[in-house]
Amino acid sequence: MLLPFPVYFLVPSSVLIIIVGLYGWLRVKKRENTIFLGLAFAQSVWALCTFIMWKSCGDDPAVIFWDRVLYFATTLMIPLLFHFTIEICELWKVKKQRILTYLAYILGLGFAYLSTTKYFVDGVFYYEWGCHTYAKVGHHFFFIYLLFFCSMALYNLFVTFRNKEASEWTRNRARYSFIAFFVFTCNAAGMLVAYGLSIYPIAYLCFPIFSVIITYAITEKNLFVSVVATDVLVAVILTLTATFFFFSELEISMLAKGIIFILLLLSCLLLLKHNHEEIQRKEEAERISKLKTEFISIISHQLRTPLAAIRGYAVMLKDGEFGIVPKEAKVPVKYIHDSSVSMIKMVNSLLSVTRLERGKIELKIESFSIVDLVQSCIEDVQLTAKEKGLYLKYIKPKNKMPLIKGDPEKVKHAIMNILNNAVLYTVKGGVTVEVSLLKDYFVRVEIQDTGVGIEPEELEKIFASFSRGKRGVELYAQGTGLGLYVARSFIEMHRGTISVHSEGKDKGSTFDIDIPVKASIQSKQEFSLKPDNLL
Amino acid sequence: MKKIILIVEDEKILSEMYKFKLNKEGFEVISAIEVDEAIELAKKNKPDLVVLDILLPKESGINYLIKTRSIEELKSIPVLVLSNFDDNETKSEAFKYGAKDYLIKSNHDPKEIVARIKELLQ
Repeated sequence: MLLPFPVYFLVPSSVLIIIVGLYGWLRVKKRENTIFLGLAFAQSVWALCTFIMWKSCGDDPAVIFWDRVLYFATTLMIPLLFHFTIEICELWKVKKQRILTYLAYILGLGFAYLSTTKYFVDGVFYYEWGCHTYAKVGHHFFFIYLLFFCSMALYNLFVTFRNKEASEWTRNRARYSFIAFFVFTCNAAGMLVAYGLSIYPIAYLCFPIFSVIITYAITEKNLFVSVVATDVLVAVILTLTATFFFFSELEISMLAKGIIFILLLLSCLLLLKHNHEEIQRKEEAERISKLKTEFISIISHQLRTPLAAIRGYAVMLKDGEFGIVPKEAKVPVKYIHDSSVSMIKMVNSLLSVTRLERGKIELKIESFSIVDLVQSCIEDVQLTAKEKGLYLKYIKPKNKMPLIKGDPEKVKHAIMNILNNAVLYTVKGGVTVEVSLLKDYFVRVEIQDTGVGIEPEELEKIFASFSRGKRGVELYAQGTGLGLYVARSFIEMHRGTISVHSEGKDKGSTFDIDIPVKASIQSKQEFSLKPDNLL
Repeated sequence: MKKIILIVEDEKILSEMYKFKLNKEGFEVISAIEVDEAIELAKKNKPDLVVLDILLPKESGINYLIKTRSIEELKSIPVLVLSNFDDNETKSEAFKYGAKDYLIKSNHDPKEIVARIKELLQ
């Protein structure tokens, strides 16, 4: 039997709205998305059951059954719709609105129960266009309930989008929701048939129109849920194409064909537009990335050149290469030298982090001796330790150590960052470095100092980028807070770990760097910033 | 006899700094600011070592390495690259074309650079 064409649109619209609802909810599980998914589900059930009911005309028990199921879904739809608009209008904090929402749910559940009984709808009558059940007493009250809450929802949306004090975003959401829900509420006209009125089911077209408005608001304006527009548009095209495939009788109706064709055309145009925008965004991202690389290159060269000169001349002045430095000038010259060294370290750290954040780090893999590498680190910091009057002890392993496979430069960078910190943050005592073999699989470099220590709550945070321990800042104001972050990143690239222990304030710290002897390490590594690093 | 060091560096302030330190350490220093000038000076003076910057006017320091590979009298002269570029690509290229070492200028003071030069000359 050929049904009136608006009935056929219920099926693709129900598929579309459930896809949109589900997609948004899966991407961001916030409250309004959950309510929207519930609403989409109820609308979808209503639309499918309405279609089945129309198809069942002639089989009265089936018509009554499907009509009751569709009313069951409708009774749940109303509180969800009202609640959704409360969220959109940011009215949940208003007590009166909260009470109304609870009331909508309580009454909705009551009507849901009632809809399964003969007091809601019963008996079937036939009219020119199809069939319907008769409204009973429960239906009358439900109709009033529906009109009241839909009107309240529309009123709230109207007030919000007219409210000049509300943000542009909230007003836009309210505007689109008002249009969409106003159209959807027009569906209620179809319920008048339950009172024996013979009306052509044109009202069912309100549902596809509602679905299109919501999809448009989401894909084009990003108003409700953050979705990838192309995904939703592909779903729309598939759904519309499937409509033709499953309902071959639609081919008879030129009007239906025309509407579906226009919708398909619009979806394809939007899809092309989005693809074009996507390509433009990609090109822009590549351009920015290239600019960033050039900028880093300029910074690395332009900043380092004067710094090399300041450092070089300062050290020569300090060493008396240009004659004896007057007594009063000795300390200032030392300050110039130390400051230039600090600045060079900062530039180096910033460059390392920028490279990490660019996502690609190249490792030069080779076999190397960790004992020799640590020895060279010790030599590099020996002078500073001596100047500060600290001891620097190196405990070498008693047995022969296996060679490690990895990038010695990066491993040295990591060890140096920790060793420099150990010397920097130690005022009295000194630093002990010990290399040992753990169960034949890992080498451990333990760096133990008698320095300022780390408070328990800071133990994990200190590895985050731009993070510095409280005691470290007190003792030494300069520093980028990037050293440990870079160290951990480089060691993790070697499938290793860095852990830290400290008894607390002024009780020193111990850093354990564990690196696997044989790990499969890729020379080109993709590196992504973990959210915890950005704390 | 004094060993000759050729410094190829366009930053005068740095060139003079290295020259001063090397002179003090007993080296004879000649300097150039671009690749072709450096090749001419090298042919004429036969330096014992070349300290080479990468970013130079007209062409990159890498070109010095490439060009001198085919010049018999210059190809055996050790080259210490002294640059502020520390990307792996530049480093690999420098080593590929025969650099003996690659140091970042800002990370080493003149004392350390001279120490490395002495090591390379041994």
